[in-house]
Amino acid sequence: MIQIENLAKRYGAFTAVDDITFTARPGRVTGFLGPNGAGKSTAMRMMCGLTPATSGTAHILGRPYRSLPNPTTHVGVMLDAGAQHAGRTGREVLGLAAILVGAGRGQVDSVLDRIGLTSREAERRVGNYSLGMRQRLGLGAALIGDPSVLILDEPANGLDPGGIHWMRELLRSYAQEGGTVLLSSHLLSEVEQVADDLVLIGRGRIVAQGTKEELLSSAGVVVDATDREALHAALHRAGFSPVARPRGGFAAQAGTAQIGELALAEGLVITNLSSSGGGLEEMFLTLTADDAREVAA
Amino acid sequence: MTTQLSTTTGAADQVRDTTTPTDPGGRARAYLDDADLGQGLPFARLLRTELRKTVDTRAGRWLLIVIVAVTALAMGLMMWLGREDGADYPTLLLAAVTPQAVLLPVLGILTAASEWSQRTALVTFTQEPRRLRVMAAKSLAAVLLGLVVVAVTIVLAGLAHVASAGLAGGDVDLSLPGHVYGGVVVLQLIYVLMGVAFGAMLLNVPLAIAGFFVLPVLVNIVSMTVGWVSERAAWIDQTIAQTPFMALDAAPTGEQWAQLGVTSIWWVVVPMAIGLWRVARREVK
Repeated sequence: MIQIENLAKRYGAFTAVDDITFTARPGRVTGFLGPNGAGKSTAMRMMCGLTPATSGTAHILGRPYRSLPNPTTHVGVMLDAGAQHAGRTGREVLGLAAILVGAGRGQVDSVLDRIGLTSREAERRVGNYSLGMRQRLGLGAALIGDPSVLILDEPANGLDPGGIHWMRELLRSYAQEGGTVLLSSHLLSEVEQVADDLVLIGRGRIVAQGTKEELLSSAGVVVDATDREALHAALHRAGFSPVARPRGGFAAQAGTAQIGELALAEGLVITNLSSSGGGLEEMFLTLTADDAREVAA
Repeated sequence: MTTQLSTTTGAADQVRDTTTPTDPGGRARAYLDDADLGQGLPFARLLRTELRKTVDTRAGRWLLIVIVAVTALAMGLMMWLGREDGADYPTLLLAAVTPQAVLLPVLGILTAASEWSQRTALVTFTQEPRRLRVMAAKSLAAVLLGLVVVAVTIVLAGLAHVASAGLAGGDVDLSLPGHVYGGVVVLQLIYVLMGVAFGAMLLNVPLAIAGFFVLPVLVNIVSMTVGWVSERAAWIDQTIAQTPFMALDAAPTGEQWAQLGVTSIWWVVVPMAIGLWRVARREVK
């Protein structure tokens, strides 16, 4: 489990991370989502004791990172796949990580197998690796100590679609085994399918967080029925704040299942029911657009 | 309305429940109990990785190759110069020690600073957040490699002398006053640690190398031109303080040891203290 409480980082007048609070729970994949420069990496570096926090706390498994004995046996960290010595081979990078966690040579081979690097690729220098291969290697180094928490900064960056699928499966099964996974991304589509919980961050502040279902349902639905008046009354009674749409039907603050239950209970014939379409995406795009404007200004 | 809302929470909880695992992999933990903490990272492992890091990159490997090549070259030159009578053992040894005193510090600099240039500091200080412990391992690794180089050099000088004497038909004489061995070891270790100190202080390989070679020259110039400094040069300028330690005829006096100690404070201890302070505090990006 990762518990972040009122964590903040200021550089002079610039606030990189502004009082963020969230929890990444065991058995779940938490997506840490925000545009570039939103403060994701700074927050993750603070979690790992690499950047001193201006205020607030970050606890991993109930302790500050720096007070974990031999931390990589508990927490697998990949903050930058590019932060590898170009002159070292992939196998050597894993070998060094293996020594520190007390793993043997066999463990290096099994990790290589798990991250899908052939032994020929593993003998090549990291300087010759593609970004995708570096991501796999970085993930391998994070996994080698068999940790119960994973902290990954933009792990899908540079992966091809096959690689993204592979990583998704790996992280999902890791969480299913009870692990805590926190991964950041600037692309909603990358984390939407794998994350159970989402934390949206923009300009250092958390703008939304919750389970993926909650966030998606808070975006509301569009619903229509044969008897519009009855539908409107029912939606109103249920507290779903219906708003009539110009082309018929209503926008309502509810999940599709809730509307289904309502229709069953009220005996309504539903003719159209859909998630209003990327409410999350919209929220995310607004964040990105705000930042883009700021850069342009 | 209330019922609707409670259904929502119920549904959310159900989702949570189905994904909450039965912990087959043993990873489902929210907190670490004291029993689960395990042992801290043993220093021996840290030292092993730091030793390995100095030789597992091309830069590190080439530096060691260059040190060996320069040693061979220096000894070869002395053997050629002494081809008539056979090259003396002390001459061969000291001929190799001088260029090594230039190259060994680079090893120290690379050990301390290259991780910041290559950004692997991000990985290293994640693996061991107690940064001064990492620096202790790095310093010890550099010192151990320095000792190995000195030991190999002594053996090579002996072999070169035997070969040279054999070729010239001269006598084999491997005697050398004990204080010269002591001087060679102490000086090389001071240089290695000075390299680590400069690397840690500047945290940038080219800058540290430049600083390492330019600063002593500047101080040397000052000590030759400024009266006040030149009177006390042996207490300030380490090149002057070190000279007696390479002399064959007489062992260094107590005062000369004191001078070496005091100059080492300026050139090793102070930069090392600044370096450790910077490493401990600097944000790793």
